[in-house]
Amino acid sequence: MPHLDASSPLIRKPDLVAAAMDGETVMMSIERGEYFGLGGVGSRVWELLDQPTTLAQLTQVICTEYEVDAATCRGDLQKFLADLLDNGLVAPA
Amino acid sequence: MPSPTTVAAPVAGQGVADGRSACSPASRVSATAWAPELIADRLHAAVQSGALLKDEQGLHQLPPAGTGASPWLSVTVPQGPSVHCRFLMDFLFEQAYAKSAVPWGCRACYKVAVAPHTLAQLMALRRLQERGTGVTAKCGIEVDREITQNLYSGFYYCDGLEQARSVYRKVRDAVDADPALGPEVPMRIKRGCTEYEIHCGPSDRWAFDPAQAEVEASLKTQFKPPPPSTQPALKAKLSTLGRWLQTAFRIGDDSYLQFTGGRRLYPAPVSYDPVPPQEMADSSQLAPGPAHR
Repeated sequence: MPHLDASSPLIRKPDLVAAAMDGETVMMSIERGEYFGLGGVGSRVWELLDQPTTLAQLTQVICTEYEVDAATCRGDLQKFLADLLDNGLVAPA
Repeated sequence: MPSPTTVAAPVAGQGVADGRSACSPASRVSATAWAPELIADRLHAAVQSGALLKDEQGLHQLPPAGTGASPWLSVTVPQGPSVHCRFLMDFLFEQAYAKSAVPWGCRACYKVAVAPHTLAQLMALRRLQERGTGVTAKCGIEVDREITQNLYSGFYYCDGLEQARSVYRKVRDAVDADPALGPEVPMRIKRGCTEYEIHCGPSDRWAFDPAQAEVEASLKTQFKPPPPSTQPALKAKLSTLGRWLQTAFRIGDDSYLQFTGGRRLYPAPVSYDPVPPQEMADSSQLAPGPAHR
């Protein structure tokens, strides 16, 4: 898992086309020729990553909008962002 | 394998003797569709060819479904008519009956079919289906199916023509009232699967023999239903939505741009004028008139 610094901002890769469909987010990476999908909270995180955003900022917003404690939220987001990085969907801003 | 003579022989008590036929006008042949010895031969051949699997207990199984994204998204209603299409279509019709008879289990299956023209209309229909009509429904892409001219379709599974007519009225009203759909979206009631009409003739002429019911009940005890998908439901849904998006792009349905914020899935290739600009300018000076295009 790539190391994520809580204060380093991430942003969506510019070549990704994202579609909001049926309450989910479907993304296509031209670079990889693959589809990715995000559901639920993932779609909201994706929205926030439209601008350079740090793990700490994301944790703050998601904790406000969803019923989750900060430690769990941060851990889940860390895994989720690492997955996005692994799949080339986001990059350091 | 049975000889052609055996296939054509009438089978007493299984539909021929009393003049009832299965789905084909060639009743002598089609009535044998559910003759147990022929079914046994067909199932054996299907296992040999790999079209069916047989487990250690002698139960037949369908090979695992492909790993690709399903073209369909469904809304299942527990109290709705049971839809055992993999048993009825993939096992009974395709293998046991070798496409020569419509399963007894499908005799009351009527569907309300909606044919959206665009992805935007398909998504609107999906919203309607999620709102519910009391019956199981599905919608998705059909453009890859060889046996239909529809690009997209939605279906509502009904138990009998009367229920189908009632569901049709409700769905027609909802479709007409939806600004993304409207009265121009075609709808109809059909019976069973399209494959049945291709192989067994028009559905208003199908006839069924109660003898089939026993045969099918017995075959059901020899059939092991496919295991539920191990893919998480959300992942499967996202794969399907991705396939819909990709298909819309591929067939030139630009309504997909409504969902991508106007961004194309792939950049449009640059096009070049077949006539060099200088040559065009010279030509228009010599002979004024329409540009060379």
